[in-house]
Amino acid sequence: MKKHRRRHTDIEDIQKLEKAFLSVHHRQKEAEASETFQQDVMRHLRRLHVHENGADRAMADARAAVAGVARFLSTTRFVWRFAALTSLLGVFLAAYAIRTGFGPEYDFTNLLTEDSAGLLIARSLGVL
Amino acid sequence: MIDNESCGMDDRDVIHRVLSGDVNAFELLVERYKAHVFKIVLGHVPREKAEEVAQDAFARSFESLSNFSGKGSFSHWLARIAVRCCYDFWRDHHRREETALSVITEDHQRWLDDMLAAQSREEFEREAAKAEAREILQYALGQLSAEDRMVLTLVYLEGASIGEASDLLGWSVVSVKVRAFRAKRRLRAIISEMLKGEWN
Repeated sequence: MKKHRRRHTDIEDIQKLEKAFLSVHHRQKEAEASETFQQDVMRHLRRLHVHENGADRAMADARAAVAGVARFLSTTRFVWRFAALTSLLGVFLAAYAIRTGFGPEYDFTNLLTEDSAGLLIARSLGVL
Repeated sequence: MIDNESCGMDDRDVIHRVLSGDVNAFELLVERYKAHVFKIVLGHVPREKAEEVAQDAFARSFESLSNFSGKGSFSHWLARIAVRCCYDFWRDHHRREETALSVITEDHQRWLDDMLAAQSREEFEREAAKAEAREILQYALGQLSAEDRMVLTLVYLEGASIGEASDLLGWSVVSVKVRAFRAKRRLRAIISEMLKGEWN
């Protein structure tokens, strides 16, 4: 670009340009929004609203799913709390069975013959 | 679509309706304040970007409507959002280095000469109405940072007080005062360079 050189630049020139800028600035503000501006804004906002609602719904679904999983986890945690006790009981029973010999029919008959009242009840119920 | 019943409602009632889930009621606020917002935005950003920024201002106000305390007027609250949208616009553009008018032509230089030579009020106004005038103003403002540009526009071009500018921008009074002084000095330096024919 060709450079123009001025012989002098004084404060008056600067002030005159500042005044010009002020006038230009106020002229710039005279324009109006297009006729479709309002519709464009509302279309954008409706889209935003739908998006937000969709996000809210998705968030609620996610929250419900998380609550379900938490419920399940707390149930299984409850079951697992007894797992150790159940295993221990199983080990004791197995040890007992090995030590005493495993003969449930013999034990059952022995129990009934030693207990006459129990034998009568068993007979009346048709078990024996 | 705005119904007749809604037209008589004041801003707070409309806001209440919008917050209750009636998005369409917001159109009443857009209708009432679009000229106000557009004028504010036009004072800061170029005409071709003004609608985009004004739309952003309405979208932000819609999204943060629940934060409107109702202590001041809705119009003032919206003006603050609009000014901050303009600031964000220039911050983004500055980051992308799209600020300055890159081509200064012989016409711009001639405009400077003609403007300085203008003797009467009519001549001055005629020159101020030219496209070159707008372009040179954009060039000069484009040399400033987003912060300096906003403060300079508000305080010196819009005529806002330091307090008003501080309220609109959400900055401290001291910060606005210091920045306004520096921005004015910087603009004078830019004008001085332009007058010497030293375009960047």
